Amino acid sequence: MADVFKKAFELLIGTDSMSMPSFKRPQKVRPLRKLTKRELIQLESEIGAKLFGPIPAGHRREFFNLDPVTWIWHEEWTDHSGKHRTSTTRYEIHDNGILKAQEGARYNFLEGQELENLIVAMRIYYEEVARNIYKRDPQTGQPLQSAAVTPA
Amino acid sequence: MPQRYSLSNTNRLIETITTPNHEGNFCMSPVQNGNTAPLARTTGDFYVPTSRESNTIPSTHSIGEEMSRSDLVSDAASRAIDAATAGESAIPQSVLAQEGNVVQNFSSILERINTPADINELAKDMGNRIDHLRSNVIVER
Repeated sequence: MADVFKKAFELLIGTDSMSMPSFKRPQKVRPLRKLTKRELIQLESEIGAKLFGPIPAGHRREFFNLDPVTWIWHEEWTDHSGKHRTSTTRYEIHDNGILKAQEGARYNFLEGQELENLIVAMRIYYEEVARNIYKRDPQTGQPLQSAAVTPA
Repeated sequence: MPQRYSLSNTNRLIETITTPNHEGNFCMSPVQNGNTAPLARTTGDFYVPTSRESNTIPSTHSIGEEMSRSDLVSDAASRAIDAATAGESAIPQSVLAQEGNVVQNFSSILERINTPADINELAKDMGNRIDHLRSNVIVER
């Protein structure tokens, strides 16, 4: 009885069918992956942190553009008592000015030299990340000629 | 056309940005080489640099240290983003409603960066340009 079933089965699906089908594994390619915004910000912040002169020993500094209307200054350090400290300052672009917001509910609109310096910092940041990360001419937005661009 | 950028190139990038050119100046924008680099204290206050500081883009680590530092910086950046995002709704409307005093030294900065745009528009423009760059880039890992 078993033979009958076996023969019927082979007739239906062929004698080779009892072997495991060989599925071809898809070739392992590493497709280009679009970085998340967070990862791009991290790359940019490597540049942003270096725009302002020496970083004090034991400090970590971040300066980056969070979104079109928000810039962040962040610093981490260990104080004299060995306690880990952080300070985050947000610069928000509003219709009536650039608001500086710090911990402890301290807010003020920037003015004078501080405002000028921030604007220059934004400008330099843009120029540096455009050239060094995105390989674009900051003025024209066109790819830099020396950039090794590979089509996606 | 989207571009690729390898994360492994980050260290080379940092090395490039901190390498002086043949004139002894660091390879930064004309603005920075024009002795106007903004410095900021740990409080986030931007202030006018001394002449000694202004052309200095620090090399805070040797080549061999860059990978570990890079990792740490990435962590710090991540925390900074979290902290920034968490504080998003912390500013009361009464503060936002204040009259800003942003235009007092307007002319000098416009002269320096050579643009006729309103200073807020200029700041927004920088942000928008960066946002555009981000949205078009493809980076190889």
